[in-house]
Amino acid sequence: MGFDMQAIKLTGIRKTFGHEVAVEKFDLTVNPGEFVTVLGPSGCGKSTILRIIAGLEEPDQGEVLLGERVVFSHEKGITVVPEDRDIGLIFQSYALWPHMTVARNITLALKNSKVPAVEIEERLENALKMVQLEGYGKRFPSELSGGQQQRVAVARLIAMQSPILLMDEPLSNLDAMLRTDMRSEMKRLHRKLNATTIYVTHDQVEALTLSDVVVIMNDGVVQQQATPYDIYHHPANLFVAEFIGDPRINMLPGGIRQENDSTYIDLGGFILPFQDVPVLKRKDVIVTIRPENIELSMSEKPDWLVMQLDTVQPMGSETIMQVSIGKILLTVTKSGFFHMDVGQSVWLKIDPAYFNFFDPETGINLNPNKKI
Amino acid sequence: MNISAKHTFSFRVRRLINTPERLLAAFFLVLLVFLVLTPLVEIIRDALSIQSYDLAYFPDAEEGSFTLFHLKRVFTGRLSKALFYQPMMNSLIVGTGVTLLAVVIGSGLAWLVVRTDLPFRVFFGSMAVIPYMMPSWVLALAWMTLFKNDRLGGATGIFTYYTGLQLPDWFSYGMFPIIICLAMHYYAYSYLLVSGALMTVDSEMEEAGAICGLSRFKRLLLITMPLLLPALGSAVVLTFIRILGTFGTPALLGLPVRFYTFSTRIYTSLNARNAGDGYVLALVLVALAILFIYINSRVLGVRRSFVTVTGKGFRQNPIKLGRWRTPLTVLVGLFTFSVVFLPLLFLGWESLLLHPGEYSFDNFTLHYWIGQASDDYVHGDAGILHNDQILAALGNSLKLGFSAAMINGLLGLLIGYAIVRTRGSWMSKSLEATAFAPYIFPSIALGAIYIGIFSTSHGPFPALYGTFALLVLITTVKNLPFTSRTGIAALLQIDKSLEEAARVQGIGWLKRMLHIIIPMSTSGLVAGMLLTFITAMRELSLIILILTPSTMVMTGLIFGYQSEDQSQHAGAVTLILVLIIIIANILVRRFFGDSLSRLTQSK
Ligand SMILES: Nc1ncnc2c1ncn2[C@@H]1O[C@H](COP(=O)(O)OP(=O)(O)O)[C@@H](O)[C@H]1O
Ligand SMILES: [Mg+2]
Repeated sequence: MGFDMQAIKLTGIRKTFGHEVAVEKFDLTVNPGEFVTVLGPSGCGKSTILRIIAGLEEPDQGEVLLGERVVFSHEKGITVVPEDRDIGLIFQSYALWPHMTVARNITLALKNSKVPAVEIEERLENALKMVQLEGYGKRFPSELSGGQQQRVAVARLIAMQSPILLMDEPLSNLDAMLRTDMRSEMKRLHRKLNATTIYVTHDQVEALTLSDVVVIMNDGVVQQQATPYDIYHHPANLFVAEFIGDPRINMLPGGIRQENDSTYIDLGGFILPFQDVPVLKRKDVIVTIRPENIELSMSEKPDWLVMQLDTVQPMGSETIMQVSIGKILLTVTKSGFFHMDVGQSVWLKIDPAYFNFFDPETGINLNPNKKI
Repeated sequence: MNISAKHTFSFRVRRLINTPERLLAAFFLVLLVFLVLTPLVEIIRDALSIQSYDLAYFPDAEEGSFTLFHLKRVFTGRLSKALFYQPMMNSLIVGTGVTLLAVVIGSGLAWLVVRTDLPFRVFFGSMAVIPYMMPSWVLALAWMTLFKNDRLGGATGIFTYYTGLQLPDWFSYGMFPIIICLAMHYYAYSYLLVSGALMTVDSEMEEAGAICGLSRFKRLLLITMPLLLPALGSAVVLTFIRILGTFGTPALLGLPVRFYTFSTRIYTSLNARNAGDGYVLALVLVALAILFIYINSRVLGVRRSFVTVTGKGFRQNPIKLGRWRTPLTVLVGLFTFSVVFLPLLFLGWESLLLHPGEYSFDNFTLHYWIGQASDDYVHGDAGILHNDQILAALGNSLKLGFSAAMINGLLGLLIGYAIVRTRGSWMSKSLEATAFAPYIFPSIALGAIYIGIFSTSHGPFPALYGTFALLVLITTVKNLPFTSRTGIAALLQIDKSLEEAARVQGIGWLKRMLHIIIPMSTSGLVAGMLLTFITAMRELSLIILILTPSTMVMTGLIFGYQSEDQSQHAGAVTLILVLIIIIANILVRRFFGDSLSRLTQSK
């Protein structure tokens, strides 16, 4: 497409509404052409970040760079109005103008910036084709379904050909089936448009499947910024560990013990030997392991832990099981469809190599670089 | 066979009693057709037939026989210019002028209060609706106090007193002050309608425009304005129709200089016992109103009202006024002060003058408030707090306000219920349309029509002319468009299943109404009743033709005092009236809370 890819850089952003801090010490660098997702529970400040980049909200502190251009700087007193930032934005509400036809919704901005009529026509056709809404140009937004409205918002974005795309939970108002379809659409779209994209969502599946980099936020503060792989495997803290992953990660309080040159970890109901001794100085930790990293057998295995099966939820491609020993509950997934009697014994293999260790007070990952 | 037929019959009766919505709808349809449509037919007939007072012109004719006499007189006769064309021109010019001014001021103020960072905007917002609670002619009274010249003889106003200058007639009376005073009152309607609409416009609509590179002005022009168009349209129609029917201000400021509008012409025609002319003029007014509504719906209706397409995340961010902030604050402050406080201040001042026209301190007295009747002063009437006539009028006004509010509340509930529960049937549609019909009658025209019909008895209705019941009836009918709408809105909120859950437990209709429907629709109903109360208390145009000494209300009394140049009494009684309305309003809001904050008289 006809533009240079642009980087986005935010440094030291802080934004308050009255006494409420919406965003604090926010740094983010998005490389040209990258697809970055901002993920977090609702109310954590995701929309605020997007609106700051778009210029719709003015931060109290910090600096925003789009490409080479400083569009906001508290120190230098620079603010570029949204009209001049040349970005595309999909609102969570879509913000389609209800009194204009689909075509006019898409072309208004182009007409305004005096794009030649022939080209406008071309871009309109092209945009409608890309979202599979050919022939819908004359309709009004209220005559479209939710999914079609969403696609109009996307078409508006496509026609603009902005080097930077911002999307605020664009799929959150769609039903589950449509959301899955549109998710792959969004990915295709990004590849085609090649624009630097920031995508806001509270849905971890969207974040993990779509992005080059995921930024996880909570209460206005960045918790971790990493590739989907690292977010999943090396969560920076307990919030990230718990927030990512479905079913949820297993979390157990544990104590580390040294006996006759060997190291053990006491997880309450059972004790595991530790092979590669990490640099852990602490005695008390919180240990996490993902459900799919625990092996489960229905027949007896030597050296494996025996536990009791509490619930079985076959999901189709995998089965989620809950097992317990004493007071300890664990979630385990096993691929395949299984019917089993609740209450029977099962045997588990828990490999400490999969463990992440967290400080019980601060929740910070004690060994974030550990290879898993 | 016989038994089963019996069963069916008793089943039907039970069903009718337990789900009486169709019965209710039919009943109200008949009632409203009688109250709203037959009067119209009746005055068309009267306008086209020889009346008893016409016999002076046609000694040989038979009363009631067909004639075009009235039409000819009004439209082509020697008097037609004075009777029809001049008043029509005046009404149209006043209507257009006021509507333009009022809509511009009202929507500008609404935008400032709802969408910008104007300081004290909550205060300004609540002040902006105060004129709505005052009679529309309070400003006209205040204008006279301030700018009266010596044309009429008698005392002059404050301006002349302090400057010694006589103001020209065009400034003191007639078209100019009428337009100004009406606009300063009727802007409140535009304010209410437009601020309501603005609150539903998601600011993301505008922000999306900003992202697309539209300038602030273009956003206003291409996005905000079109979204407000339906509300602006309603504001224009509402204001224009009200102005056509308004009587007080044109009478106070126009009659002294023989400046006639339709409404004052109807009044003088009927007073001069030329009812036929008055009816023809009233019909023209109705026709004008219908034409106007029709044009409006053709221009705007095609695209219907915009159901804004929003998902989650609805949010409004105040627009920064920047360097305009201070000047605009001063402007809005001055405006609020001069439309809300100044008029009342001047009327209070006027009420304290021993001798009218002398606005100095030594001339102050409380005589007109607390004095005993004595011949020392101009008219010898007792101060208003001792005055039986005034106390009686106060009693009547309150009685009118309360009874109209109660009846309208009940009617709004039942009609709303009948319409919502029979939704989709022709009965529902016709009932809704009929309940809305009084809207098209300008107030003075409806008054004229009601005199016409209720001077004789009709079926179960006795001749009501001169009775208090007629006042209540006409006030109720005039407020029906609004109350039935509140009723419908309230009932639509209540899901049918809530009532059905009670039905399956064997709870009868009356109990369901009492325990489910009424409690759940309280806030809407109370809002409707409060509005009826306010409208009834400050109403003049609607009832001026119907008032008799025994049914005199405050507004009529004030008008009387003013026409007899008892301006102190007029000022004092007006103050009391406004005070009562505002107190009632505060009390009701205190008891029923914020749910009333959206008190809009919408179309
Ligand atoms: N215009 C505003 N006025 C006041 N508070 C706001 C405003 N916008 C956002 N907030 C607050 O800032 C926080 C972050 O909001 P937002 O960015 O919309 O969260 P998210 O998009 O992650 O759900 C929330 O607590 C919200 O209440
Ligand atoms: Mg959000």
